Order: sequence, then C-alpha cells, then structure tokens
Amino acid sequence: VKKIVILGAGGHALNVIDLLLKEQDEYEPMGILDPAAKGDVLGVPILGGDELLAKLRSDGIEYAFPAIGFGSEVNNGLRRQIYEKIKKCGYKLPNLISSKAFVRSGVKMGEGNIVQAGSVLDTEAELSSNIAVGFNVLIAHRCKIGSHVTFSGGVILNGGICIGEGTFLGMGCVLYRDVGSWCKISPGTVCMEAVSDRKIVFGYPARCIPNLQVDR
Amino acid sequence: MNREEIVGQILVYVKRLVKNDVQFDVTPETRILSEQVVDSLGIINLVTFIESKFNIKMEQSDLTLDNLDSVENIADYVVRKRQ
Repeated sequence: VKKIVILGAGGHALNVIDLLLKEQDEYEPMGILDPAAKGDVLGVPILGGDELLAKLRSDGIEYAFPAIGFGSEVNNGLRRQIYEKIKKCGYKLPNLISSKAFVRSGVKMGEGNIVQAGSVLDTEAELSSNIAVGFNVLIAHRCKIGSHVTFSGGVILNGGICIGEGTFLGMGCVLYRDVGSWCKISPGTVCMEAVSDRKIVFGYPARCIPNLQVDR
Repeated sequence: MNREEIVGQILVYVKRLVKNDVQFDVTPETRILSEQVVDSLGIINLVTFIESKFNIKMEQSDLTLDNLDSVENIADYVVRKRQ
C-alpha cells in the first residue's frame, strides 16, 4: 500500500478520504495538510499546514492529492494553485477512481483526478489533470475535459463534447455542446448550444452573462 | 414606481449579495460585476430578482455589462424595459 498525503480538510476532503478508506486499496491516507483545521478527518490526522509539504516529501512520502472543493471561498483557480504546489514539491498525483465508478474502454487520464461513486467515464473519454468528478456524473464517449474542471453531482455530458479548463459544472446540469474555459454553469442548467470562454450560464433555455470573476 | 424607488430596491438587494471580502460600502455607482462585489451565484440571483421584482424578462441580448454593472445601470435598464 502506498502512503499518500491529502491537502485540504473540508467537505471535499471528507469525500476524498472516504473513497480512499473504502473504495480502493492502492493508497493509504497518512495525514492531511490544512492550515485552518485541527484534529482529524475520518480518523486521518491533520498534521499542519502546507509548509509541511516539502518535509513530508523529503521524509519519503511519494504521493499527494489536492482535496480542494468548490464553494463561496474557493474556486478552480485555487484548486489549480494547490495542484501546482504539489507538483513543484515533486509528488506523484494518482487518479483516485472509486470502485463504485465505471470506466469503459480506452479512457485516458492525466493525473490528480478523482472519480466518485456512480459516475461513468464512457468509451474513449479523455480527462486532463486535477479534475473532480462528483457522484453520478456521466462523461459520455469521446468527451475531452480540460484540467482543473469541477463536476458537481449528476452532471450529464453529450458524447464527443469538449469542456475547457477551469470550468465549474453545477449539480445536475446537462450539456449538449462544447463549453469553453473558466465558465460557471449553474445547477440545473440545460445547455443546448455551445458556450464560449468565461461565461456564467444559467436556466433553461440557457442564458449567459460575462464571467468577470478572477479565479485566484 | 419611479426611478429613485427602483434604485433603492435594487441597492437593498445588491447589499445582501455582497461577498464577505468586500471592505467598502456599495453605492448605486459601484461597478458590482467589474469589481467583483458579488460572486457568480449572486449575479444569477440578481437577474432573477430583477425579473420577478419588476415583472420583466431579461433576454440574452439584455444580459450585458452595460445593463448589469451597477445599480444605476440596472435601474436605467429597468426603466427602459418597462416603457
């Protein structure tokens, strides 16, 4: 079993650690780094802040995983920053696939992706890196997903579409055509037309507002 | 409802949407989108509020910075739309 350190101790980390403990057998979470938390998450100890990242690497821990979610205070820009910090320290980032997810033939993935229970990565789908796939997501055949994308639960993609990097897909949205980079798709949106970069999209039929949010 | 009342009602609502890290007071002239005073969910809530409060439908062509970037801009848009 390979020891892995987890970055983040919030709600998303809870999901990541539960997957590690119960839905795979290759990695063992040895500790959590989060400057704003103390105690433990599901029995995994919080060791301190990100400043321990370099020390743990020199102590021989080879694997790390960014367990940063998406919410009012965090976004995919912050998720990218944490991912890059882990890479810079020389860690390997595994893909964490729940044993309850379904990955079909020819799927390609970069690194640092998580796929939660109930999700389907259909034939020849391609995922870049640092992508969070929540529960019960369908990424249909030959879709291409850019890095740092967040899929909330219940998202459905049509076959063969592309999602640009850093885009957030809210719960239950249905996407029929390509979506650009750094977009935010509101929960429940049904998007029948392509969406260009940096848009906030909501409703049905979907409407767009320019996304001026600078993701940190 | 006159324009002044429209400005007042929108301003009260926008102040409820202001992000925690915004340190300044929001006025009718504040560029609420450009200066990221509200987050993306807040922007969607704002559009929904405008539509229901003033009984108008914002079409895709209406969802522009010119119409949404300040309380003054929104009020001007609402007055035009209701004429």
